[in-house]
Parts: sequence; C-alpha cells; structure tokens
Amino acid sequence: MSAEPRTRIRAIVVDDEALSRAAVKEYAAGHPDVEIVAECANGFEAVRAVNDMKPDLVFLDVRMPKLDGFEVLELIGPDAHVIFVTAYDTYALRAFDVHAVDYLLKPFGPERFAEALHEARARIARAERTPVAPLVAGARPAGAYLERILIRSGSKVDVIPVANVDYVQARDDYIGLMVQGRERLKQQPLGDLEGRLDPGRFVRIHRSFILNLDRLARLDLATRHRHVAVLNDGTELPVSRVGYARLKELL
Amino acid sequence: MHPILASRQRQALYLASWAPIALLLAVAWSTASPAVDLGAALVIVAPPGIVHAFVCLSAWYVCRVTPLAARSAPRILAAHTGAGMLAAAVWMLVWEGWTRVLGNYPAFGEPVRDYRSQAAAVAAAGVLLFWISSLFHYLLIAFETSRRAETRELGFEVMAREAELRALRAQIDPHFLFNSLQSISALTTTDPPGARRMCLLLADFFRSSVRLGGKDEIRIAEEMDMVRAYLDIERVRFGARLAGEVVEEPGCGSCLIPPLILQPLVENAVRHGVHSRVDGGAVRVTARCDAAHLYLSVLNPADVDAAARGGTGVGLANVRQRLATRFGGDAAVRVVRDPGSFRVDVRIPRRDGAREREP
Repeated sequence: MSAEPRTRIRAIVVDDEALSRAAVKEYAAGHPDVEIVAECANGFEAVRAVNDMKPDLVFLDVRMPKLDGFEVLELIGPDAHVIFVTAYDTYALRAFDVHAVDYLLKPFGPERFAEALHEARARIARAERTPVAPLVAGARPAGAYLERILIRSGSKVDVIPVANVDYVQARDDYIGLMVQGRERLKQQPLGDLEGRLDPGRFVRIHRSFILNLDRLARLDLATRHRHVAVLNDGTELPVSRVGYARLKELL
Repeated sequence: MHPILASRQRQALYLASWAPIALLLAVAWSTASPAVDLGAALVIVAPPGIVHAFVCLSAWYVCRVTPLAARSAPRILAAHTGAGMLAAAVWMLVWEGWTRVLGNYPAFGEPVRDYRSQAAAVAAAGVLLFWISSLFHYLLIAFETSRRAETRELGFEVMAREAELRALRAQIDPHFLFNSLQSISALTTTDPPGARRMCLLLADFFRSSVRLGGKDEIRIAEEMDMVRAYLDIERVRFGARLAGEVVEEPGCGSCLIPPLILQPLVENAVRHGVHSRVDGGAVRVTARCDAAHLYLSVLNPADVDAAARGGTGVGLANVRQRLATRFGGDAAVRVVRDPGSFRVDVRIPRRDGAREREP
C-alpha cells in the first residue's frame, strides 16, 4: 500500500453466512481507507442498505435468500461498484458482463482481496459509473426467461412473479404492470422487458402493450381492420397489425 | 432381413461354401455312373446348385417361425418337411429345365439320360440339402440369441455402473467443500478451536463418504451417521438458521441401502429449506421399517413462492435412477409438496445386514 492519503471507501458486505461476512470484514480491516458501514444477510437488506447508506462498494454474495446477487445488482443499478464473493465459478462470465469490479471465489486470501480492492479504488477514483443498459440486459443468463419482476421503491423491494402480470403498458419512461387489478410502475423501457420475457407466454400486441397470453379471452374486431384483445376480466386492449400477426402465429 | 443376405461379403462366402457341396455331388454322380464324366456332371449340377443355395436360405424364415424351444416336435417336423418338399420341387424344376436345354447337345445326351433314370435320388438330395440348411440356421439363430443377450446384459451393467458413478460424483459437491473452507478460513482468527473442530468434522465426513461410497450397500445407520456429520458441518456455516433432526426407529439400523441415497436429498433440503430462506429452517430425516420395506423421508420447509422457482435438481433424479436400476418397481420415490413444506419419501425393499458393531 502506498503512503499517499486516499479517499475513504464506504463499503457494505452482503452474505447470508456470518462467517463469510466476518472473513471480508477481517481482510477489509487491513485497509485503513475501507470502512464497512453495513452488513446484510439477504438481498432485501442489501437493497435497503444501498439506498440508505449510499456505499461506494458492495461485496456481494450470489446465492442468498429472497434475492440473488444478480437481482440485487439489477435493483441497485449503477449506484455502487460491486465485487462478487461466491463459491461458484459458474457465474464469473455473467459477473463481468454486468461490469462487476471483480469476482472473488471462496475461499480467498488477503492478497486476492487486496487485488480486487485495488481495482475498485481505481474505478471509484475515476468516478466511473457502471452503464445501466448492459447491466440490466446482462443480469440474466442467456436463454433463461424472466420468472419474476423486481420493483424497487426507495429501500423497499417488491417481487412480482411474471405469472401474476395481466399485461404491461408503456408509460413514458416507465412501464405499468397490471397485477391483480393494481398497476405497478417500474422504470424500464417496454422493449427491454419484452426481450427478457418468454415469447411463448408474453406477446407484444401493440407498440405500448405486452399481453400475458393466459389472460386472453378472445379477439374482437373493433372496426373493419382493427382488432381488440378482450381479457378474462373484460379489459379491452388495442392490437396493432403486427401484434395481430404475432398472436395469430401463437394461437 | 436374412443375416447372410444383409452383406455382400457374407453372400460371397456362403456361395463359396456351396462349391464343395456341388463338387461332392458331381463326384458322387460320376463315380456311381461310369457313363457320366466329372466335367459333364459339374456342368449339369452347377446351375441347380446355385439356385438351391438361395432357396435353402429360406430355411431361416422357417426356423424363425418354429423356434425349437417354443414349438412341439411334430409341428417342427411338419414345417420342415413341407418346406423341404417345396424347396425340392423348385430344385427339380431347375434340373428339368437345365437338362432339357443340355439334351440338345450330343455331348450331354448320356448324362441327361442317366439323370432321368435317377431323378428320385436327385430329389431326395434336394430335400436333404434343405434340411442341412435348416440345422445350420438353427445353430445360427442360437448363436445370435446368446450374443444379443450378452450385449444386453453388458449394457445393463454399464448403465447401472454409470448411474452409480454419476451419483458419487454428484455427492461430493465441491462447493460444499469451498464453503466449508471459507468458514474455516474465517474461524482461524476469530475462533481457532472452532476452526480445528471444523477441520476434523470435514475430514470425518469425507472419509466416511469415500469409505461408504465405495461399497455396494451399507447399513442405514451408517448413512444416518454421515448425514448427521454433514448437518454438523453445515451448522457451522448457517449457525442458528439450520436445525436438524436425524431419527431412525429402533430395529431399522441394520437395514441395507445403496450408499449415499439420503445424502443428496439432505443436501437439497439444506439448499432449499435453509440456505434460500432468511430465517432458515429445520431438516428432518427419518427412517422406519416394516417386515417388507424400509421407509426413508427427508422433510424441509419451503417458501410458498419457491416452488415456482423450481430446481429440485440433479440430486433427486439421480436417487430415482439409482433406485430404479437396482430395485426396479420395488422401490419408489415420492415428492410431497405442501404449502410451506417439501418432503421426499423413499421406499426400498427391506434387507437386513449382519448386526456388526461400529468399528
């Protein structure tokens, strides 16, 4: 370590195992510029802690209760730099896809920890912000469809299984998810969500609408050339020409 | 398809084997009748011989529909007599036609006349040749059957072995080791005696998993002890989040099971019932038995929304497959999903081992 004074790094440790958190804390204690400001035992706590404490750096386990590490990363977005800490090497490629600073494989020693920290310092010093778009797109393994949608409002996280979503509507910068009669807003482009949903279950029926096929009761003709989708609860959604062709193909 | 007709090489070989037969017939004929020389006899015998060679292959079909073991002797005899007559009729037809053609040449006048006087003997030779072919085909079929049974048996053995190996490889999950080492690494500074205890637990666990995994079957008590050791290690990792109970009914301990049947189920239970839950949970492993069966059960709590996330995984499929290859329909693996809990029930035919004491 060099003698020059450094900016302080505020970090949180997220791991459901106390012993594993203890190891990170112990190594961090050897670096006076790093301060562990919070410890979290699950994903929800992690999102709350990032929101409340605004840390510079997050040591993030992948396999945890409630939310896994990648889901946490998706929710905290570019707010903090992330070093993954896990026993599983299978996530390494995904981790770098989402611009993680480093990927520590348990068990690891103080030298490896220092190396990861070194890179984190550099990124923090450059005030680099992790780009959001690849983050979100990369937060899922290729070929796996989204099973649940996470909505963060401040420090609170809601987990919505995609099966509960009736349809999704584009609303400017947001999307509105209709879930059991209530609309939930999330900041995400509609096209981005569309790309991550199972195309056999969710269809973009219109520029502004994605429909859960399970909810479709029938297709009606509104005018000579325009169709509307009628849902099980009677809601009517517009269907574009392209959307109609997509539906025809699936039904 | 007839096995000989299936390949050109076999056809050639088969025809070649008829050459000595035709030669033998010609020699026999020319020695019996001084009026017939060997060359003429060969010319006359060759075409009917070639045709008969192919006709005799049909004995294969007759042999197949009248297998020696499954049909009565009179039926077999009747089938082959009928088929032999039919084959001989074709054989005689060729003889007739061919000798009629050759009769136009003065050089063959004498042999053809001689043939006409012995037509009955020629016909008998045709039937005889067909019957020899029948015997040959029965031999061929018996050969084929035993070879097929052998490969099938070999295939089963390989399959069972592979399943076992896969299972063993799946057992010793390297991540379990990595996570345990991480715990030890953390304990070395905060709690050195704890680190040592963890090392010993790990060593014991791996030693017994290697020892038991190498055996064909083990007593249930041994497997239960290993599961206890496993839970002890995981308790170091998860602390108060993991509660465990491993109970065997009295009298069951010496029942035999294939090794490491419970282990993957308990690993799953810890992963889904403890690791993926904020407050953890209790894993309950039980063994009980009646006169005929041994019943094992692994129970863990489950989140209501966890069911949708799936991933019961390789472990369960492996246990299923191993039990199926070993016990067939006598073993059963049943998954019981209740809201809030997940249970795997296993039923295995009961077999008692010697009541040896722990070493």
